[in-house]
Amino acid sequence: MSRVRRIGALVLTSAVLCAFVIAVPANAAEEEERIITVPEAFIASASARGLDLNLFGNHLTIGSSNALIDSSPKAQSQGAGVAIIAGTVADALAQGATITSTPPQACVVNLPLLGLLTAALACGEANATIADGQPKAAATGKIASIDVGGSLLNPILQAVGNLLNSTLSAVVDPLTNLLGGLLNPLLGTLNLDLQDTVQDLLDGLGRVTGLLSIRVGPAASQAITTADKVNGTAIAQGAVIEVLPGLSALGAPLLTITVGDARATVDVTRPSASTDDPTAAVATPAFQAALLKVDLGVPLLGNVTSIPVSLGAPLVLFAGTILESTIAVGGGSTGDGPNGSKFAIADGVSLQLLKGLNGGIGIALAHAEAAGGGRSAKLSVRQIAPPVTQPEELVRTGADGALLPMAGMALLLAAFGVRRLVATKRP
Amino acid sequence: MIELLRTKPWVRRGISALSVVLLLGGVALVGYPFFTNVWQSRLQGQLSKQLASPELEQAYRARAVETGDSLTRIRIPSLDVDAVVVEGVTPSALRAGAGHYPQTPLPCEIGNVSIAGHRTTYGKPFGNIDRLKAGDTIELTTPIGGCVYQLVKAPFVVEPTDMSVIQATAERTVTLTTCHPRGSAAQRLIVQAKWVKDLQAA
Repeated sequence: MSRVRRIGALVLTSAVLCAFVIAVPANAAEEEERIITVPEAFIASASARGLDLNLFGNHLTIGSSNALIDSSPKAQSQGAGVAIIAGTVADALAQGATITSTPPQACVVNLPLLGLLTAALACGEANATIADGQPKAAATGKIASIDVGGSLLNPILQAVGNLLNSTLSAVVDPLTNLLGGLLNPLLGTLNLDLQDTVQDLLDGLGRVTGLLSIRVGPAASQAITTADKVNGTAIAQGAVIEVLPGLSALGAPLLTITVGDARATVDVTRPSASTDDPTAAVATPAFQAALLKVDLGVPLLGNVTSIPVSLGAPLVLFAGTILESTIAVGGGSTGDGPNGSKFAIADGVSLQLLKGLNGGIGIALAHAEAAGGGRSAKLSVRQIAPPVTQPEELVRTGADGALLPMAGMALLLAAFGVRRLVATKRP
Repeated sequence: MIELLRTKPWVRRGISALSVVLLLGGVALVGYPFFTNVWQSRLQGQLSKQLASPELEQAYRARAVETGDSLTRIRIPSLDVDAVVVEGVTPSALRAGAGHYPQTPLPCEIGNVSIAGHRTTYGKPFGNIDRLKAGDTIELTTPIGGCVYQLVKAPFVVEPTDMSVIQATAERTVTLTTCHPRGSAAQRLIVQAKWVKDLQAA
């Protein structure tokens, strides 16, 4: 019988011990009734780049913009004429107590760059606002035109300076190594042949006003919020590039490259009511890649050749000569980001011009990106938070730390004493 | 009484049952601090994960952290203290070890951030704050950033009703409160520190 009692006591003791570990709730807060609202969340961004230039090893980004909004709420944007020139960069940020940010347009006129080119006008502008909790951000980076110096042609001109009165045919052999395959396309553009004099050739080269002339449209980015959707849109407007402008008697360039707009956009729907459906906020991306046209020759003389360029099939011109150039068209894509977000990219046009001239010029044109995602508000009736009352005294912590174990020892001693009493007084 | 024990079996059984009850009660009370520490340790793991979650960051930015949810991590390098502090100072919230007085500013904000912590149970995060001295530092890390405070004076004792220690201040300060002496609620031990620098975002 006493053995049964001992076993029973052990079982009860174990149950008490386990109760402290198992019975306490998982969250430190009491399970009181509470209504919890998880607010809506969204984010949208856009980024556009007008032109990325790599000039004989020197890198420059011209005409860029970025815009970002999220549901914290925050609106942020930056527009830059030339990203590394602070005078052409405008930044805007609306967040917290600042609900409107519209800095002045940042412009520089006749901006020299890298010692090799001049930008006629470079500007950046940006603005960011938060109205009724709806953030909006927009930015533009633009540059009027860029001219790359004709002084880079001097090595060619000096090489033929002593042969002014000789016929081209008499000098073509010694010049072949120096000029490489330059002669044939140059002569064709200048409407010359080998019986003309070198002077005629120099006259043609002397009309050249520069190595490159680039007119590029603005790069604009925008991220906005409306009652039913969030949108991010990036547009990199196109450009016209003239290689050796003014080469012919009529002023036409050797090569004319026309690039269209590149656009990328993402729309995110905003559900009108709270819902637990995680797919209620839908992000939809779209893109439009830049179109490209390449014209070789002199337009007004009727000998312009339009050369098509297809996606995946780069065009190579003047192969093996100083003027060798490669033109490739970029496409676009859409895809999935984290947490149900989407992105869209419109790749621009890639040009590698005049590779034989000190490494050549690399140009990446008209690139646009947009991304966005969101989650609707969720409403759950779970608990009601207890009212927060002002305490009458500083919170009690730790008062029972020593007293309880001491009381426990007293109980254990009492239990031992009672057991001894029962055992000794048993008949 | 002794005769009853000798002659009445039901008396012996009753007193035997009483001894079992006393035994169970004694074991429970002796083990209570240990059980609370085990409980708090398990809870701290959950609170650490919650502190790193994007949902809590959003609630924190909206200043809508619920009572009992993670609010900040407190580190006291000189005492090797590293614990998650919850929002609220209700008895259930304080099972996490330490809780933030809700009527005081959020960590690293202007004003007097006040935190109450256990001294002998539930992980006893403030068990040794009486050993702090001027120059010791206290770090608070939240989902959106953190900062460091430094003691300018030693801990001091006040009456439980002295609410002035958690009143607002014009500068950035932190106040820790716990019961004093150890195991008693007769008084409160107070530690106060001033802001010295901000930390990178958590």
